[in-house]
Amino acid sequence: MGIASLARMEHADDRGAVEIGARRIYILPTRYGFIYGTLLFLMLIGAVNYGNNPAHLLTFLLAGLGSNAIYQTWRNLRGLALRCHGGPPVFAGQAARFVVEIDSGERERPAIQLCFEGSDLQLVDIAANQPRSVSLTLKDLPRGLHPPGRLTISTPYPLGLFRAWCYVDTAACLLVYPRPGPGWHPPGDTGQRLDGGYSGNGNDDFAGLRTYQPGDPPSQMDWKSYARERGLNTRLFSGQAAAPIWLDWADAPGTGDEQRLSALTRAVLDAEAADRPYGLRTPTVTIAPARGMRHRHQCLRHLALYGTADA
Amino acid sequence: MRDALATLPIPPQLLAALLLLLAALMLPHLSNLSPPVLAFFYVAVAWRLVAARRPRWLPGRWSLLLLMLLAIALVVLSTGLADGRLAGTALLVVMLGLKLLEVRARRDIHVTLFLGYFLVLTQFLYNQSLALAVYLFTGVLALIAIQVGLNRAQVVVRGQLRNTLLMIGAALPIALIVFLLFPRLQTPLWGISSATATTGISDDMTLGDIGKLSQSEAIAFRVAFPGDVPAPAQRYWRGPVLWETDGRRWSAGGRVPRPINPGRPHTTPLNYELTIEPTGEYWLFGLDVVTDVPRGSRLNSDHALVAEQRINRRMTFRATSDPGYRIDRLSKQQRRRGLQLPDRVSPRVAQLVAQWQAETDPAEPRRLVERALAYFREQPFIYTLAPGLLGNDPVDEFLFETRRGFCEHYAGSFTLLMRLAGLPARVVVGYQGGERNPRSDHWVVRQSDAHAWSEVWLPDSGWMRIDPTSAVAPERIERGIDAGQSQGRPEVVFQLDNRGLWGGLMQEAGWLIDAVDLGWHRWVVGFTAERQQNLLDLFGLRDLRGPGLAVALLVGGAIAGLIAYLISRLPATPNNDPLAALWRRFRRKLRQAGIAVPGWHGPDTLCKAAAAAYPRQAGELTAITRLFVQLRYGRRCDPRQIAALKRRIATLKLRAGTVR
Repeated sequence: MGIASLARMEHADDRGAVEIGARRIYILPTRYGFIYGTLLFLMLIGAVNYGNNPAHLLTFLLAGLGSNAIYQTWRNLRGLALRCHGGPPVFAGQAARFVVEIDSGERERPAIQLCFEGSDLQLVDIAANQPRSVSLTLKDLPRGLHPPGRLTISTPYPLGLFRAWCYVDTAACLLVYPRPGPGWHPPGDTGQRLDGGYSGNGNDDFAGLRTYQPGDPPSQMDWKSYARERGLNTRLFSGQAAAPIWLDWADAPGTGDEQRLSALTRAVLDAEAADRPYGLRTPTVTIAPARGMRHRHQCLRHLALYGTADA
Repeated sequence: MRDALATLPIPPQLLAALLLLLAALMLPHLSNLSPPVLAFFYVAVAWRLVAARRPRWLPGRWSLLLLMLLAIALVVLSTGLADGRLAGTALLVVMLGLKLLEVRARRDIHVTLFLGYFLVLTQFLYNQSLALAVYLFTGVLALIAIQVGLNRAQVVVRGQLRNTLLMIGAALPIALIVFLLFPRLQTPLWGISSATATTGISDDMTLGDIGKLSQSEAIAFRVAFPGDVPAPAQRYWRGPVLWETDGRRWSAGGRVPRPINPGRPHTTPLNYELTIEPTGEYWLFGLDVVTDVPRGSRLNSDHALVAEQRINRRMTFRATSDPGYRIDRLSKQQRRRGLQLPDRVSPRVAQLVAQWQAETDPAEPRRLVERALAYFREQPFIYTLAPGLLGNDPVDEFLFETRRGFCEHYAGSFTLLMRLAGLPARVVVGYQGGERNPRSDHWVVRQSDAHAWSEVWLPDSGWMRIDPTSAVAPERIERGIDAGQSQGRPEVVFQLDNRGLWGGLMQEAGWLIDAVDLGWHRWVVGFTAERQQNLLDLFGLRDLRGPGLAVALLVGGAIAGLIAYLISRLPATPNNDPLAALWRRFRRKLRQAGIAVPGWHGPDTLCKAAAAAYPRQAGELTAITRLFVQLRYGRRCDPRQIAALKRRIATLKLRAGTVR
């Protein structure tokens, strides 16, 4: 970061909210500002040379507009309230989305530009009393827990002669799972269902009902019994009653850690898709077999953070 | 820093508006620039308008280069580069046209806008009239609005006029203070010569000239008296003095009067500021007799004010006059010229004068003057704009046959009669009278006030003004001529007070426009170094320069900045939603009480946070929130309930709770 790290920054509170303070805003002329200044100088020379007072008046009016633009541009940022949070976890290689909620307060704030370092740029006009959210995308993030870096909010409004900007250190974080590797068969996996999840075509043997647990796929809900007010149940099939698979670090193909993590990620996704209970064993942690989105997230999170400081 | 705005496409409506605006701002140049240059620009505008829908029609790089060569050739050929102002303007105009053809990104629009501002400035170099200024500053307003529109993600039309006006309002105090304090160069008062105007009085009077002038309502000059105003009978505005005559025509004669120093006033002098319309001549018309000469002009030995340069644009100068001043110098040469007679004087005229001489005491020439005036008064002379044609001996015919004449007939023949009687006499042309503008308390002197009178040398009182017209038509001196009414009629119509309702309204409007026009000239166009110094003197800032001027600029700048800040704080768009306003008030109250909840939270969250901080008022806070939600999202919105909400919010007092 170098010198940039010395910059005054607005820090978000523990809920991720921040209001841009008056003393955290930087402002400099844009290149249009410099051209405008040159123009005013030339106009002044013309006015003085011809001793032309309406020309003087025009020049000074434009100069007044230019100098007021410093304040107006600065004011367009001051007091802007925003809250940044990461979107749902993504896999490495996917675009990671951060959401910034902006409240302009009682004043309209046109041309607010937002970006993280390395993210795309977003430009929005924010109407008065109408908070809105903007999503910023960061590409090519490696696995791990990512703070998006500092958020840069800037605006050239109203005249484009000056650009006011502010750095915000958001508390937001986004989890990036490892990139799923090529498919493989962990030991104990019969390979029957690797091509997809439960097909629902009725070929499997119905094995009975159990109480619904969060994460059970909606396709397996027993809606009929729910309609009879017997509670929410999940239908089980014979194939699913099979023994859990163990996704073991030692079994994962590949040479380096990253390849193994990718392979394990793929295996977690496959096992979840096949609706089979699976456990995860890595050199640091063993996660007991289970199923469902929560379990999947727990496994993937462990893989994402494996070997990082956040683990 | 990356700029998302620069990558956005140009909003088509913004581009179209800019093109049309530039075309309109170019219009006043139609009378200044040569047709090929203007044609080049307008073709470029039309081309760009058409190409707005078909970008492929825009010229490529090589075509642009060719067009640029063509443009430069046009400028060189049409202006000859002789006049720097003209060549510079033409160059700017063709470059603006070229730039329009090159507009592809938002960046180019910015540069085009800047060139547009410069275009407005070049217009002022040719014409500084109020009407043009109003037109151009309206155009500048539109340019600013487009510039603001360019710096938004989405083009919005609604509320932008108000927005731009607020921005200009905030810039105006700064502009005005810098305008007043910015040092002006001590350029010559009469500036750079340009256009010529030709109406008005010259130093050559043929019978009938002033009569023609009297039918014009055009303004000759305006005068503001900060102190005393001269009485109607003193309002003689002295122009050139005519010495030589052939009986029909009077002229100043070949010799140039030498400049003299003004004398000391004999009575209390009158200060005034005179703003003269362009005449293309050198004559200024000071109140008779000038005792303090304005800068850039001098007083000649005839006591007429002469500018150092031709008056080719409207100018303001300050002078002092003493109506009671006596011109008591008569050189030998003046005596000789004051007795010059035409080659032929009819025996009837000579006999008339001889008769007066016989009737009066030669030691008292004043009696003879009175006798001559009595002749004009007693004989059936008619004051008329249509005196009819006079033959070979106009003076004889006028005095004895037609007896119909305008002021120049009376002044000319009277002067001739005095010369025949051996009294040196001369004709003075200028203006007499003036009308007060009740809107700004200045006086307007029109071409219809043009006048001619005589001056006769009397040994005991010097050059004495004798106005024979007043003997024939005293109301001319008291009231002035109504040029609009007199037009096309033989008889002279004097100004009356009863003009009817419509006439009165029109006159009021005329005075108002006149007042604004003079204000524009006095405070903007004619704001010279001299006026600036006078203004600074008014505030006790005499000899303001160096550090003093810097301090004044700083203080002025601070005041202007404060005003700009206050104007900036006005809401950009008016909000007509009473509920939203009430809710904002509620939120503001809570914020002042230390409850800051970002705006994306709904009323419930806000209410909970507030109730947690102020448990005592929890009930009231909940009631207010519930009422608001009900009014905002419910079916009906009862004005009485809005009033109730307003009352509750107004009476809400948040005190820290002690319950916990």
